[in-house]
Parts: sequence; C-alpha cells; structure tokens
Amino acid sequence: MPAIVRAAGQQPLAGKELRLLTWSDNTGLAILDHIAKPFEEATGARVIADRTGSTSEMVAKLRAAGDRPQYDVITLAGVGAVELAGDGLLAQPDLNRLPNLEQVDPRFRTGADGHGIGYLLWTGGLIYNTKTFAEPPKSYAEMWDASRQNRLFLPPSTWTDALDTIFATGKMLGGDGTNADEAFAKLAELRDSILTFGENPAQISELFRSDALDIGGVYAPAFYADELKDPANSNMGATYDIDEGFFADLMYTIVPKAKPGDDDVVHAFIDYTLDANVQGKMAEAVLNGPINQNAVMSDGAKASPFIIKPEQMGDAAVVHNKAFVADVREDWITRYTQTLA
Amino acid sequence: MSIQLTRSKALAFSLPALIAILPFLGACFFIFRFSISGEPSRIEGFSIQPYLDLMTPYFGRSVWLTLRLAFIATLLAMVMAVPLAFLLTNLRSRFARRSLTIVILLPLILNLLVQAYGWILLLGPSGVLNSTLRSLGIIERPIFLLFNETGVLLGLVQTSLPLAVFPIVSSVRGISREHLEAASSLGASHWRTFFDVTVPLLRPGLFGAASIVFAFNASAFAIPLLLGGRRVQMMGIAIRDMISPLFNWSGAAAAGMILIFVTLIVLLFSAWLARMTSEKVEH
Repeated sequence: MPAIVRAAGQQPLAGKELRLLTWSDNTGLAILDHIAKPFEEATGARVIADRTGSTSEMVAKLRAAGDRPQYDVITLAGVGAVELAGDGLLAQPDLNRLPNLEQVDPRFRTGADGHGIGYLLWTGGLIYNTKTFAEPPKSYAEMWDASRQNRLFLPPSTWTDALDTIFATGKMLGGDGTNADEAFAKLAELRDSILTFGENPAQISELFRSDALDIGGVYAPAFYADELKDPANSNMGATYDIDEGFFADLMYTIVPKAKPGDDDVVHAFIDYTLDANVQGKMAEAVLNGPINQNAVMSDGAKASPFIIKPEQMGDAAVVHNKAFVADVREDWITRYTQTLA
Repeated sequence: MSIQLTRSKALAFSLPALIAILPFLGACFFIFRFSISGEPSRIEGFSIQPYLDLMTPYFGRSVWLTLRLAFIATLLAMVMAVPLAFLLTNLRSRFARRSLTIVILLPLILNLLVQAYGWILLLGPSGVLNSTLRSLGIIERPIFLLFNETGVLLGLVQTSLPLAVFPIVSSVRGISREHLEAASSLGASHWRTFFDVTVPLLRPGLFGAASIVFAFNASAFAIPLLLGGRRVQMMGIAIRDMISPLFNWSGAAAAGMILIFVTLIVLLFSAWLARMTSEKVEH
C-alpha cells in the first residue's frame, strides 16, 4: 500500500471524490479493476470514472472544457500530455507527495515539462495470424505483401498507433521515421488491402479467430493478454522483434489546472498508480510495461515476451520525440485518413 | 366530416411545434456562422477558408460516395417499398395488417446499434452465413458482406425502408377504385393499368417518399460507422473526424453546410420532378 495512504491511517480520504478519465477499451477496464477499485477500498475515496476512445478524444475533451475541466486525473498517451501542457491546461503535481516515484526508473518519472507523471509503457508491434505465419514476421514490409489483399488491418487515425505506423513505414523505407511524404506515398499502396481499421480491438480479435485477417500494425498486444496465451483458438500472435523496431510510449497521468477535486486525493491516486503491486497487476492484465523497478509480477509475466520492461528497451525500441509528434499530429491524422480511407 | 380551422387558431395550435423547431433553426444558424469563422475552434471573425480547405480530392470522394450510396439505397428501398405498400393496403385480416406494420416499423423502433450488431451476427466473419457456408465446406475463409460499401448499403436500406413504405401506403390508399375500374372496363390489362394509371397517381407519393429516404441516408452516421469498418467515409463520418480528434469545428460546420446544401438541391429537384410529372398527368 502506498506510503501516503499508510501514513494517514485507515480510510484517510473517506468522503472525497476523484473524477477520472481513462480509455474505453480493456486497458481502461483494467484501470478500474486494478487501480480505482482497490484505491477506493484502501482510502475510502470515491472514484467517478469516465471512459473515452482515444488520447485524441481526451485532448479534445479537455480543450473543449477550457478552464472548467470535469476531471481531476487523466491517464493518456505521452503526446496528449505534451499538447495539453503546451496549451497551458495542466497543473504540475507535487513530486514530494508521490513517494512511490523513487522506485520508478529515473527515465520515466516525469515528462511534458513536469506536467505528466509516468504511468506505464505502451508498446506496439505487429499482430499476426499464427495460421498464416509459421514464424513471427520480421518486418513491417509483410503488410505490403500481395497475399495480404483484404486481410490487413491498420490502427484508426485517431490513435497514436497510427502515428507509429507512419513512423514504421518511414523507417522501413530507410528513413528515420520523420520522412512522412515518402511514408504516406507507400501507405497509399495499402488502401485496397485494408479490411478494416482496428477501432474495436474485440472485433479485431474476432476477425483473427475467424481467420479473416493475416496481419496488422502498428498495434498494441495490450488488448490481447488472453488471446496471446491461447493462439490455437485465437490464431493471434504478436511480435516486437521487428527489423525496423517496435514502438514504446511512456503513458502519463496528468492533472488539469482547474480540476474540481481535492489535491490530497489526486496525489494519493497518482502515487497509487505507481505502487509496485499495482504496476505488476496492470502489467499482467494488459501487458503494459511497468516502470516501477520493483514491480511485483509472477514468473510467467517476468518471462513474457509481450511485457516490455524498461531494461529490455534497448536500441530496438522507437521512442518518439513527443514535441515533434505533438507538432505534426493533426497534420498526420488528416493525411492518414485522406490517404487510406 | 372535416374540421376547418381559422388561420389564427391553426397558428395557436401550431405554436408549441414552432417553438420546438426554433432551437433547431438556431443550431443551423450557428453551424452556418461557425462555417465562416476565421478560427477553427471558435466563432471569431469571418473567413471562407473552412470551405476552401474542403476542396480536396478526399472530401470530393466523400461527397460523391455519400450521394452514390444514398441514391442506390433510396432506389433499393423504393423498389422494396412499393410492393410492401400494396400488400399492406390489400390485406383483409386486421391481425395480418398490424403484424406486417409492426415488422416494417421495427427498424424505426429498434436502436441502430442493435440493428448493426444484428447484421454482424448474421453476416460477420463468424456470423450465421459464414458459419453455415464453412460447415457445408463451400468456403474456407469468411466472405465479407460487411466492413465495406455492401454492408453500409444493407444497413441503409434496412433502416430507411419504413420511411419509404408509409408515405406510399398513404398514396395507394388515395387511389380511387373508379380509376382502376374505368381502365379495366376500357380493356386495359393489369400491367397497362398499373403503369398508365396507378404509377402516375402514385408519383407524388413516390417522390415524397424517395426524398425523405434520400435525405435520411445522405446524413447517415451510425450505419457507416458500425457496418463500414471505418473504411466507408460517408460525410457523416468525415464530419465526426473533423470534430474529434482534429477539433476543426469550422471545417466540420462547413462540411455540414455542404451536406445540407447538397441534400436540399436533391430534394428541390425531386419536388420539381414530382410537380412536372403531376402536371403531365393532369393534362
């Protein structure tokens, strides 16, 4: 249990409320199950959760609310934190009130000019059909193979994974990932091969199970913790071992500047997200990489190739320059939609 | 017996409805104002830039796709609606008539999400059709009737069918038996009577129904989103994408105005066509 909670005795935040905005998919559900619920039990605070589709939508919601945000805490992709910090909409949490931060790998403690507190690592690679591929694919170029016609999926434009896909394409073409013009020209070749965009991870799982898809990416294995344990039935495999690299993004917890709630409960909640047990549970549930160096995980999770630990990042991990991505995000989303739809 | 209302009484009775329409008109005004805003995220200044920004091949494709799918769906819905309307008016059993009415009305009563998932259960990769064909050994991999234009068309036709049937039912009920008997007594065959008497008398109702169905389909959002797999970028989807995640409210408003304008043009053309053909019939 986090120190701030221990120190304050039983139910120290009873009667207080925290408004949380998180994702609508299974990663958001995992936050409710493994963070919000035990936090409520431990502190007596009540977490009122709202869930939405993507980081882009979270950014849009917070911008629309301006100086009257509805939320106290938001978990989102790194680029969203950078954009909102740039807009002057975020507060800087007090690091002295986050004792668990000491256990976090120093590279992942804060970001967005101190407005974002590291949360977990979001990692993306290729998802493939184990019936089609005897061995995991080694390059994003597999998506351009003529046999993938109508058996390919890509991430939807609103997801940060779409930006990763543009980067991956650029790197596949020999660039550093920022060679967007080349990448979009190459991506245009995929237009007639795409069966669907992966806006609904459950639907993607169903399409693999029915053997309708061969490959897709850049996409996060995080959605498929159960499926990846049972490839015989799900037909699903995932790989980070790709020539052009895999994508790793530090997700952040952020606090809107004019949040409606109480400072104590906000800091207690953020600290709780960094707890060694919580980080371990989240890693096992949704295959996110834990950033707490003492994260408590089972032997299976420690050995899992789908959970990237900070020490495994190495050269293969592509970590975006968030300021660059924040700068080009809107333009790339538009071009991605216009190129592929 | 008919009830005659004076103009002032009619106006008084219509007042609640007129008041209810006012916010909608207000929203239309603000959409127009936003569409000529100098700022993409708020109403400030004046500019036609939001319209100029839409002059892209992508948006052109979206407009064309919207018109094409709305037109085909309208045509299919009308072809199905006419015999249904005749069946409904000719059923003698009250139970059968009510049952058929409920069945036709179901797409209006049921939530669009439920209807879309119904299609997925039927035609999806693990749906009834694919499972059956697989178990019979006819296919190895699923065939795709969803997540493409076919899927969207199926959804559009299904959801708009009731809007086509009931205006035509009213027109069919309005056809005098005397006209049909006169044609028959003059020696016209059933088909000749149908094409030379019934269809011309039905024409205003057909155009009216087609106009409603077209406008409904052109502004569709949920069906292309759920059954198009994000690949069928009708204007409703394109407008949504401009609002979130791009936060381009003025662009979305401009696209909305274009959708309203294009739909109005089609409706006016339809009304003109109905008037012209009615005049021909009268002559």
